[in-house]
Amino acid sequence: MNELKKLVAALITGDSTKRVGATTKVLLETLGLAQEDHGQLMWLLGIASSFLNRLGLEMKYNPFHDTWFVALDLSESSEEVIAKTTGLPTALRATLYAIIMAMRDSGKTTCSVEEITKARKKKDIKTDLKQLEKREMIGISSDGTITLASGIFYHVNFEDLYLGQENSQSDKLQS
Amino acid sequence: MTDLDEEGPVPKSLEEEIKKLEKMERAFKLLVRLQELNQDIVDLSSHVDYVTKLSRLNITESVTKFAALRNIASRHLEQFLALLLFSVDSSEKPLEQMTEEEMAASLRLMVPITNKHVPVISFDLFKTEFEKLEITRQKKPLPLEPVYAETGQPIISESFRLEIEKRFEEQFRKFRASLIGYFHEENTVPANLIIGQGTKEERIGRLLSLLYCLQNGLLEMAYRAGVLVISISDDGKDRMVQGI
Repeated sequence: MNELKKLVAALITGDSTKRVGATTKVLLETLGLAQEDHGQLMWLLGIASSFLNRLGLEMKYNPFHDTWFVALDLSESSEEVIAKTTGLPTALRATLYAIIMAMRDSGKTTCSVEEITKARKKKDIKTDLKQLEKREMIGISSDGTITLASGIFYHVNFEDLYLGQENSQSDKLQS
Repeated sequence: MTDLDEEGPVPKSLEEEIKKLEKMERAFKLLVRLQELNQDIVDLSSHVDYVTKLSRLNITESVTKFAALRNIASRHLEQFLALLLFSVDSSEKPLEQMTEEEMAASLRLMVPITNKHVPVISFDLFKTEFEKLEITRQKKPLPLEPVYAETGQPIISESFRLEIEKRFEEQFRKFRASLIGYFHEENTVPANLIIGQGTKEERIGRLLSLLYCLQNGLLEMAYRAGVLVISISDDGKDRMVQGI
């Protein structure tokens, strides 16, 4: 099997200890590369990524778990398709967005249930929060403090979120 | 009035420079906020360059930024999360004024693919053109075959080279142009543009051209151009060059 096949297979099937993707260490072992060959692995990931892009897939990285994984590219998908594919209804996505923005605006890495309830203008936000917690996207402590859970990096495209405004500005300039 | 006083469109290079400075400013603001957040924060100034690069983040293009990401994340999880959160652009509207649909639309999601989510994925998609060509060659051998030196490097005889040039002159020219383009512009040449498309004859032509390039010491170039991959045995010990 050639190195690209091995690499993509490892990224999709993962290893026995992980549900999603494969760590850098596992990928190095899979390819028979030494720790010093890290650059070679990165280069191969780049090549594999260009192949995957043609199939509508994306190479992604979760820095919390040092895990590389393959994801569907939903950037050009409609709202309906995103809701159906991700299994995350509009209400849950809105709540998750509110959490991220509330943290960003307050300068903290936590927020309270009250803040999110206010931002979402909903009487009961607890059902949404429970659903997000069940999906390992957030954590809720007993005192009602919300934190992001590391699993969020498998689901939310932070790079695009970061680039969102910049892209829309350049779109405006071009138009 | 001097030339400097004249008003006119901002030169593109200057415009880019301004954008770069704006990003730098934003990066420094992020660092200040991080330091306010946590007194124990380590010196992140060495990562300023990384932060500015974050705005141009593209997974396929750079390797060093991932090393930086990993280092920050593994050593300082809280700071990293803060850095990421503060890097997120805010909407033009305050959160309280957004509708549910607007909030949802602002969140860009992805779906990780695992063997659980996608039980059947055809690896035939990645079946190499080289393997297909090998099958073709076994059925109808080419009149002339390359031979290999003890080092494993193919040696192509003059008559074989002439046969390649005669039969596949056009493909050979295009292939060479692609490789030269790669070095000139430092871009990766997509392998399927070189070998994967077109008729069987065309693909064989490109492959033979590749062999010719190898004979001329261009192995590394072909590898870097993405024309070759390394085939690995199951135990990870044996490796060989394979065309794609």
